Amino acid sequence: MSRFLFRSTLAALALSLIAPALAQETRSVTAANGTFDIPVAPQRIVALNDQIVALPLYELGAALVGSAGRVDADGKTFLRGGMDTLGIDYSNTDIEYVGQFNALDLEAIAALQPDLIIGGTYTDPAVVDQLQAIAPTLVIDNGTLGLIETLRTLADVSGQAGNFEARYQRYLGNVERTKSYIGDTSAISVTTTFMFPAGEELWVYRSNLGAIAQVLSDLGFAQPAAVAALEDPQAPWSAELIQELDADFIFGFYRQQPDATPEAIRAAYEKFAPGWCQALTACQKDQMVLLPGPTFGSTMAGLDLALDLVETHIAGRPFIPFKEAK
Amino acid sequence: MSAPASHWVLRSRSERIALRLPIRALVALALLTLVLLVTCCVSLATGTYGIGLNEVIDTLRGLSISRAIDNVVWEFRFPRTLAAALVGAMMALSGAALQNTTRNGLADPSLVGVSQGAALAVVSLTVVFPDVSGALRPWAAFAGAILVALAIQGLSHTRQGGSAIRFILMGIGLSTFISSITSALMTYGDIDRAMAALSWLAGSINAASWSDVWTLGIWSAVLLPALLAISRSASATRMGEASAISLGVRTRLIRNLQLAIAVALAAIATSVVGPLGFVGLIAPHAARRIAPAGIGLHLVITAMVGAVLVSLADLIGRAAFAPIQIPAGLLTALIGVPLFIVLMVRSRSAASH
Amino acid sequence: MSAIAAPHAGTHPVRAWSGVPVLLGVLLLAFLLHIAVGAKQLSLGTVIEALFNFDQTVFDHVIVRNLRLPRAVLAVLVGASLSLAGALMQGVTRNPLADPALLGLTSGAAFAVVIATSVLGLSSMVFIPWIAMLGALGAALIVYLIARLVPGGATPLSLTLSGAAISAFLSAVISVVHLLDQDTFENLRVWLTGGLAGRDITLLLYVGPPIALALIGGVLLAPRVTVLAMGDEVAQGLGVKTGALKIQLLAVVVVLTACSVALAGPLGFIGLVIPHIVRLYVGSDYRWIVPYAALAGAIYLLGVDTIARIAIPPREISTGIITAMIGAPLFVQLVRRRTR
Repeated sequence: MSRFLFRSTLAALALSLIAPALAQETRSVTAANGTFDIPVAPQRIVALNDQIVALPLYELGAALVGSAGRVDADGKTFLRGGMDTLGIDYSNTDIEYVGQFNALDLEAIAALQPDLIIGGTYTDPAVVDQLQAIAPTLVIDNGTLGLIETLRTLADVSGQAGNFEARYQRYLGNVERTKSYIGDTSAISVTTTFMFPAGEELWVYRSNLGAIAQVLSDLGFAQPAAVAALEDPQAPWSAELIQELDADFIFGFYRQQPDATPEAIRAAYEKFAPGWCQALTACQKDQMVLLPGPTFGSTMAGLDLALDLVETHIAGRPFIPFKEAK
Repeated sequence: MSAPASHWVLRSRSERIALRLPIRALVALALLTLVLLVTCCVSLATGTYGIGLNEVIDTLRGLSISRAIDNVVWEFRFPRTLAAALVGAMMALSGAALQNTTRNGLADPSLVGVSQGAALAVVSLTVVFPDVSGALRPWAAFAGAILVALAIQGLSHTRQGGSAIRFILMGIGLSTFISSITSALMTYGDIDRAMAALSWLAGSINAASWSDVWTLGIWSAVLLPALLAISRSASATRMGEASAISLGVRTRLIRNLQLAIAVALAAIATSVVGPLGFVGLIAPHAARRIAPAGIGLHLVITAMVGAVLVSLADLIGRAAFAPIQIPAGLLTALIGVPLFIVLMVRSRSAASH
Repeated sequence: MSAIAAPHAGTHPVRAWSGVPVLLGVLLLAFLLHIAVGAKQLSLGTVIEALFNFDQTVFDHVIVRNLRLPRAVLAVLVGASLSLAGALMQGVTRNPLADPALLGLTSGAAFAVVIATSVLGLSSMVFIPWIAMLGALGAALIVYLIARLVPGGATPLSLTLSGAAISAFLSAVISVVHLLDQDTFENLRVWLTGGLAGRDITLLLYVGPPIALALIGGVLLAPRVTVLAMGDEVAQGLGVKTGALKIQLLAVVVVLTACSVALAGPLGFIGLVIPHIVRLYVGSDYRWIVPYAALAGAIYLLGVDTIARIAIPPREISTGIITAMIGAPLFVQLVRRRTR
């Protein structure tokens, strides 16, 4: 496509002559998909995932102009977790909808004239290649990086590194405070689960369940042997083995949606494993906490909220410790 | 091949070669080309980014209006439009070649598992070996597709010779088997990689790039003439095994060559945009119905019909529920199945081959 | 349509009778094995105690009694239903490749349930079996009608093709619904893969009676299916009212398929494969094929589900994926043997 290359070079030349003011200072960064020259201070960022990319960027004060989102039953688009965590949505911000994370609208992204695009390993590689024509498109492998490093990377590439470090230090300080309230956290075991609203599957998370998993690991809690031994960060769990999940505390997550109320989730557990509450000492002793999921997305606000919750539920209260059978 | 009156006959001076050009088929071809051009123009002017057709034309002529418009037109819409047309033509030709070799009017690369073989290969590549270069996709797809085709061919061939029904039924069984492996990979593989493969699996043209267009274009340029070249011998094969042998044609070789081309066409197209169902099935029949023609011209019309079909599917998919994008693969199934049923019902001999 | 080989010789009644206790014995063993093994290893003593001296405060008892036992019952019912439905379909359509999934009934039922829950917002499980039945019936009629309209009539090829086409169409619509409403759809994701894990056992209250009736009805109708399988003319000559019989059989098949789908989601190939394996033993007499198929289908699904539960603990493999992986190669083998 030499003719095309020639034309676009010409176009680029023309542009740079007309509007030298637009030319930005750039620097080189390395992401999961290679090394790219990105603006030092990006002015128009598009996020290819709402929960993992858009929310933390917005929270850090980055210049976000578009994000992938979801479509609800009425066909209305929304940012998953946006209202729950930060009180934001397409309707009350300048963020534009650019498709669903696995069905992106390339033209909507181009229309926003972004100077930086951020996606992940969930983004179709072909789409990433296409987007490189519009703006440097970074793949940030949040699964490998973990929540904190993902936030740090997002802050770094969006030019908000200072902002992140300040908030992170404050969070670490709070973690120490909570630890001092709880005492020896390594002697307390905690399990995180995720229940589907109709009780068809129960997932167990060793790590990777947003802010709450991060907080639990930062606080230094132990995990039941079966969970710690998981090869993958998460796995669907057999109902027969639900007792292997027993711990001092169980945090049971569910996705907040019209048909997934706390009552419905309790019923879902009962359907999944009849007599579950009898089987789990944590549940018997009221040391099992049901929590809606999106509220604890991968944001600094989510971390702060999760830390507060863990502190309220575990610190300064008597509880009956669970002894794992050997 | 009816209507003997409506032919122009071109003869070379020595009368060694005579070319009979059926008028109706040529008119149909011209009309189809026109429809394809119009569809392409509408496609170029349609999208989330509002650009008028004249602005598009200006951009295509090289006048840069803005960098964003340049990007949208040159990087997205133009390659996408070309890819849709090319993929449609390739799937249509694949179906035509498959129907010829199996002597079964209801053969289609997506019905007999060839597309699913390609899909499984690509999904394994994306989910299990994510670090392998995307350039290997077409080759992996081809390998997957050819393995399935060989399996069906081998399984459906007995001492009494191959059978068209066996071929199709075998294909349906194999395609279900392969789909179940693909869905196991999608369910138990890394969830992020599976997500990345999901939109491809639905048959989506939205991320077609220039390198895809090149892949499709080069392979079409190789495979189309090859298919046309053996079409004469192939049409002899179509008369039936016995008469072809009496004509002295090496039936077997031709059938295998045609099968290989059919598989290659489907595999390359699938590797770029994912499985697109029913195009290969319908296009050859539609072409025959639009205008009866000799095998060569019929193939060209078939390619045109396929191109129009997929271009339309892609256009509708991105405009009908905007901003939600419906992948072209779903639309070709939604449009294709009813047409397929009509074909089945109206075919003189769906089952008597 | 002479591509399908004619059925083989009849069955010797003594041989046929002798197989029934054997199959019943195997079924019992498979059932006990299904209850005895699982992701959690329980001693045989615990299992027996759970069955005969149930203590609901002991979770190991709960595992046997409330997790494994209902699931085994489910496997028996669904396996028997799908297999029996397949056998009847093969007889009535004179098509050795007939199967509730191949002929579109399963996707019809699944489609109806998806539309009802996702678009119409119906979620009460009381309706689910009925909606599934409507879907299965609609799909069955459409597939058969299309095949009838094809010149040459409802041959194995035309039936299989129209079944495949309708299934492709319905799954495309399901995908579009998915794209338009991802969140509601998440809830159906597990169900749509087909399997016996985490199924709603209380649904058995609504689905059990029709399944039982249909199973009995199928066995009672079986002798006349043998006559029907010889051709409509022969059957009419022998005094069988073919029209009425076909409607009764269709009702039985639809009820069995729809209830199975409501219980376990779409599971493929059971109805195809089992009757053929049975036929190897009892020959072409549907009087024997039908009850044998029901027993063998139950055994088969019990076995598959046992594997699904213990292969990779703490996870479980979807039963639907295993039935397809085992069933499809058998289908291919069948096409090889049966057609020329």
